[in-house]
Amino acid sequence: MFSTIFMFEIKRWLKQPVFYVYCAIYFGLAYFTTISNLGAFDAVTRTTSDPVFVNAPINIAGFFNSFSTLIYFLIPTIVGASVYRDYLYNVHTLLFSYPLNKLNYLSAKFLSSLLVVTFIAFLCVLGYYVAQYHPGINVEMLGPNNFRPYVEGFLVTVLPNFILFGSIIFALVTFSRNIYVGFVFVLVLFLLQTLLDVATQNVDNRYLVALLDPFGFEPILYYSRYWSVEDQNTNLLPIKGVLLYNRLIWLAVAGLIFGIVYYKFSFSQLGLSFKKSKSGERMTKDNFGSILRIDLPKVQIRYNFISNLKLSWRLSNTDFKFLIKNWTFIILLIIAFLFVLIIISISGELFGTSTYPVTWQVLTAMGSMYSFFLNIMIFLFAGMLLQRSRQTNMFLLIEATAVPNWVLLFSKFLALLKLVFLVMAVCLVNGILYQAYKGYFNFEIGHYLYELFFLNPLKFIYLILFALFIHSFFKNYFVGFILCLIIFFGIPFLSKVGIEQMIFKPGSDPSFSYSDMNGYADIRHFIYYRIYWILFGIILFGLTLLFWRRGIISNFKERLTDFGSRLKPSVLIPILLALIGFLGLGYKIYAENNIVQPRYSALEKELQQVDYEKKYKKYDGRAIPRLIDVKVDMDIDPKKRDFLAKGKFTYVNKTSEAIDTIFMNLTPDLKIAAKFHQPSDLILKDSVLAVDIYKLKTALNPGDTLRIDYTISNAANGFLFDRSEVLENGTFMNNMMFPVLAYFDDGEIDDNRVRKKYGLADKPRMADPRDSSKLGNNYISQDADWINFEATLSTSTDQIAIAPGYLQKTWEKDGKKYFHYKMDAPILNFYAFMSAKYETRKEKYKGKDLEIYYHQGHEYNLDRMMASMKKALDYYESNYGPYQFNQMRIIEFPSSMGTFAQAFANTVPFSEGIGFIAKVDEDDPNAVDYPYSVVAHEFAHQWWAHQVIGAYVQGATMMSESLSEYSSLKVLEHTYGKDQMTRFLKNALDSYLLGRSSEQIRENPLMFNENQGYIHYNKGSLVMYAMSDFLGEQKFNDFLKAYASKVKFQLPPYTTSIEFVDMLRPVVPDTLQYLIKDLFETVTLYDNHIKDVNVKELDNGKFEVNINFLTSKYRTDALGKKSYEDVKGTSLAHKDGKKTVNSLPLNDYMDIAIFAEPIEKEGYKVDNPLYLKRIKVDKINNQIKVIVDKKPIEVGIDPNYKLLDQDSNDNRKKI
Amino acid sequence: MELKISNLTKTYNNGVKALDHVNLEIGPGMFGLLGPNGAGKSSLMRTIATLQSPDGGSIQFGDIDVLNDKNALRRILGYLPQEFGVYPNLSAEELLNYFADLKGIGNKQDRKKIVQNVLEITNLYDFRNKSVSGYSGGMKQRFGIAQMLLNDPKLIIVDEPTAGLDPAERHRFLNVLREIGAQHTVIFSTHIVDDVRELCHELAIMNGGKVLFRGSTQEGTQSLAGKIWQKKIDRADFEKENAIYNIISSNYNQDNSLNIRVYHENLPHESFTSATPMLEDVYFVTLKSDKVNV
Repeated sequence: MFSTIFMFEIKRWLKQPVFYVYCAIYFGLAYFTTISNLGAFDAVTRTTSDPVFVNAPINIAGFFNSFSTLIYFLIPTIVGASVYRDYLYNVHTLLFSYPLNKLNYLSAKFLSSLLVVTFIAFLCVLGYYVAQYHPGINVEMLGPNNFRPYVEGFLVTVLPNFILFGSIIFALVTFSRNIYVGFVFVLVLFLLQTLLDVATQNVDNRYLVALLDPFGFEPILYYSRYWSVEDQNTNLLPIKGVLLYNRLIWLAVAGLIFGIVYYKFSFSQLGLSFKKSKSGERMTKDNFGSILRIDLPKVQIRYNFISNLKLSWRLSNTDFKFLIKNWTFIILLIIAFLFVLIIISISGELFGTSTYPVTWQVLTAMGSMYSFFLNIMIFLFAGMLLQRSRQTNMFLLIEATAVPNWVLLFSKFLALLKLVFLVMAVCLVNGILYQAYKGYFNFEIGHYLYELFFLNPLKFIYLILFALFIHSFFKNYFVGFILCLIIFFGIPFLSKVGIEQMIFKPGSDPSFSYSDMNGYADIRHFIYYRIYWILFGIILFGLTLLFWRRGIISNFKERLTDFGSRLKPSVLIPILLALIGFLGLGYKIYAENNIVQPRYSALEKELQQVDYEKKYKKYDGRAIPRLIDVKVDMDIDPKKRDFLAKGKFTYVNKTSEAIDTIFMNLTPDLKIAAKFHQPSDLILKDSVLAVDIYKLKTALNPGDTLRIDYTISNAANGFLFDRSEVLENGTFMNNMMFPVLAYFDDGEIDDNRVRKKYGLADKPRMADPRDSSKLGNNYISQDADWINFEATLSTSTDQIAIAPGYLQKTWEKDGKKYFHYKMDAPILNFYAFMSAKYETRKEKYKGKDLEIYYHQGHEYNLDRMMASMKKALDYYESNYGPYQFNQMRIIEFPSSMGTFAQAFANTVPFSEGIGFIAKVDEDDPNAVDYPYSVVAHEFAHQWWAHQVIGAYVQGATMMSESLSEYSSLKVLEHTYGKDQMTRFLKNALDSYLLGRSSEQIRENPLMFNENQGYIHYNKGSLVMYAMSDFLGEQKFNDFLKAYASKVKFQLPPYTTSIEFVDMLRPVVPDTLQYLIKDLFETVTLYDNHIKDVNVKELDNGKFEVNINFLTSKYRTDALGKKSYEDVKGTSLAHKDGKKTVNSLPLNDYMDIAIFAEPIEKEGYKVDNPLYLKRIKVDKINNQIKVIVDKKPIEVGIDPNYKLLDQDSNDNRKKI
Repeated sequence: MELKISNLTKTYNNGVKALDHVNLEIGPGMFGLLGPNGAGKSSLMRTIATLQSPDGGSIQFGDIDVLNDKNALRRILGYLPQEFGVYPNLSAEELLNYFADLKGIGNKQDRKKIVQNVLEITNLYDFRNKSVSGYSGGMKQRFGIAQMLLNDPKLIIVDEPTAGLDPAERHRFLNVLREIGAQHTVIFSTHIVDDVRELCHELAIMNGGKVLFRGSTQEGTQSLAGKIWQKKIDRADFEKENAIYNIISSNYNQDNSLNIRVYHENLPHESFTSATPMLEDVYFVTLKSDKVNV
């Protein structure tokens, strides 16, 4: 019996055309994605490159995981509906009268459908594998292929999930007799996945998450999260521990669910229903024999355009009611609501500190969630509405009436549009409730309405028209739905095959962002694109009408005949008008993007980089005049959003040779005129690469001065978008607009794999600090050392304009306000121009002016920022030396420009998104005060960058970013105490480990880092903090002060990390010299963990704690390949069970701690160490015995994360 | 107004000829379309109701060229398909209001008036708030009539409406049809001869996509006058008799003997007695001789 049903089901599927459609779609997707990852489309787009092999075991598992996620959408129709189908087609009344065995029936149904789904998954694997033999791919991205990772990946991430989700959906659909319930479950799965992604970023107990993740990918990440490139390329999947437990737990759950289905299922059962059964009522007929006269009242029957429009509206009400009374909709909406609440309460956080729920932030976080749900609803419900009359078999009644097709279609459109507005209204209520819940009562209703009821619907109008179009071709709306999804999610990937422009990617738009300072800025950009797509949608609407199914259509030919007979002016003219509008606007947009200003594709840009290097590399390192003096007149027009900059630049030939050729690097897309004060010829103008080369009539002799006046303005703002960086409120521009008189090796391709393709020699991203010829430039500027700076800014009268320097004078003239700034001492060639309607907060502290320029309403953190400036000033002046300016300014800029802060001389532009709306929980001692810390970091740059600046070679950012980050840590530590450090340090360690696992080129040691964020910020702060901890804060800071006083404001050759380390080395005692090598000179990591701990209560009431911990130290090469031998070839080894643990020879110091029950501080838990000692460790396996007074509950090796440990989660262990 | 069908042809994808050069002219009043299951009745009805396109031929109703101006016909059409469903969880009143809308009755008052009227005609008024998807077969058919009447149709097409109705429902249904048929053109398809006999004075008999007979009941029976013979036989003799005579129908008596009716130009055998031709005889003779007899 089993095999009969099983084979019947399989054969049935093999006969279904839809099965082959699914097979083709999924195989194609897998194949296509893989060849695209392997660079098959490099001929039309930017070169694909990644140091991790595409077929590395971890990537195989990742690919399987993401593709099986796509297949989950098929489970409700294939697995879920396997039993339900028998009811749907009324087979059950026949089938269940046979002597069937329940177990045979259910298992045959389940397993056969599971096999079908698994087969489709297998096709994806096949597509993935076969794609590796596609001609023209980059075979260097493939490692050796091995059978095992494929099998393991399939058995771990695909099959158990299908069994688990399959059985759940099987149960849900079988009992509810509703495929949508299964489908809603798939959506819940997706949300769960997103939620897990978000949750794991902040969760301390990742083990628990790994254990409970139903997808089985978190437990893999649990082990592989910090794998280096080398690890990822060589390690097999970690089939052990939590991964196995996880899979077993969920398989058991699947078994349990199937068991429940078996016990609860009965052949005669009815579907479960949520409705209460109504009380019965006896009905009798009374219709015998009467003869009636039929005399229908006269009514007016009208089918004109206006009455048809009204009719569409009324019909849409019926459809709309159907939609909102639908369980699928109600459940989706409830889930959306809950999900948004969860996400929004997590995503408002940064470093464990939340922001105030200002409206734009609530809208950003929430809008994307509701949009996701709405997309799904539209794709699903468009199909349901279109097929509804057929499914209920009412279509003949409807279609025999004289209602025009367009009225029917338009009413569906209206119903879906009403749905959009309803969901948007829920979104609004949700947002306001959330704000109120958070105690934030500045409800910006107008802002909500504009975004939710105007901007967002512009997107959904097109999507509705698109979904109706797709669905009109399929009777089975699951096929239509899946096609909608695939097209929708696939369109962004068109760039991978070289289709980059949004006008060719249906439904794409430049999106929008809001800032309290500048509103939606040039929102017209977004709106034009949306209008463009709505016009396209109208064409689709017309096509849908032409192909509209009315009555009984028996073949496609009839549809074509219908199509032909409908080609009438009443349909054609609107389509034609929309087409004209679509093409017209499309051409305008195309022209704006391609003709008014040339547009370069990603591939063209890459080729330009190659071109630039090949053509102009010869100018690199040539003698150039260096900038010494800058005077700028900057005219900002916030209303028109234009600027005009006039710069008087003075250069001097500081070299010992005469210079007659001036190489000038320009900023593309700006109008730039250069006027030399001495005779010169423009001998080369390369407008594509933005290079001009001038020949001076008389050469510039050593010591001679060259003066150039630049006039720069933005390219005109077009109808579509602003080309200028000037904003109506909150302009922030920097000196990048001015030409640079040097070859720019920043513009070269960094990736050696790509360089090879273009015949370029390998090169490091930055020059070697040991090469003394490379020390002539600091890393801020290619053609300047220290400059005199003066600027006069003009702006509208209601704004304040700011540039580095001290305000000399301000005046009004011709309706503009002028600000004259001047620096009294030379600064780096790095300055900014800002202008906005600012409020100001000013204080004088120890003779220095501390000022904050902020947007009205953003007063939340001014006190904190001010306090941070004071504390930082104190700490830095006493530890590093005097502050070179007598003023410090923090200036807010719109979040739409980014969320960062940047330090210019006495001037720190600071995004509204990073600190101004931060909400620091005063009561929580573990909460991090990040406005405070960011201000301290930026202020530290006044020393570490604006006084001490490294040469433009590897390691330069160690002296700026690492030391600023260290400084900020110290300021925090002195304000909030050491307890805060643990959290910061662990965060830094985790970010470092994550950063190195996604390194694209190579991981350098700290002192040779090539401007790599995860090294100079995260590892750098850990290293500096550890040095300060090991040497003592005072001793380390004294060294810093000595170093600073030696190199600050120096002229070339600039200082390097080598000089820094060489000066540090004598300060470090012999026993700690290993730190220099481990922390600065190499990439060295520990693997420390507590293996075992036990406690004995002694007779005297004290406790004896025995701790067993393992220590291992290793070095890695640039891709993470580990080595355990020192230069002499010695290495330690220890047998730990079956495993051998290796290590570099050890003579290292580390902290060991024992903690009692945490202290409660105002409701929050704080570490309570009973014992904390730095011990020397010289072997891998260590035992220590400590006697403590109170009952210990936790022990830790390096409990505060001061060492670079490859896994920070096993340093502590609860007893 | 007269409905004129010329040369209507339709072949389905599976090769079945559903309509084979059908020519019919139908005037006002009740017109019965008689034929066995699968004769092509529904295909013909759907084609007239603009819900299916023929491969060839034309349909004219008054001055409406039906195939080229479908909406013009739909405005004056009332159609009740053989089987239909309705949107679930909607009451008769709501659904009728919906159909009144679809039929172009734009005024709310008008809709209310006419919906109430058709509810009363079909005796559904007391059940107007009940969901139609829960109606019994007879009530659902009445609902079908109710929606059909909303636009006061000139041409009414009802496809096998009496199948599955209890006798009282069937009677009532036929009575209502009759009332309407007095003023309009009603085409009524069925495989039950009695329906046509009771209701229609004009009829056509269809099989295999062809119209085999077209005329009135009287014309049909008159053409068979003196050609129908009957006889009572034993069950055991049936095969033998059937081999000799053209038996057009037979039915059991209570004592397990059979009454057979035979079509023959003159007395086939002295054991037969002459019988008065009935519509049923016309039907069976037509089907049996299966040739065009218009």
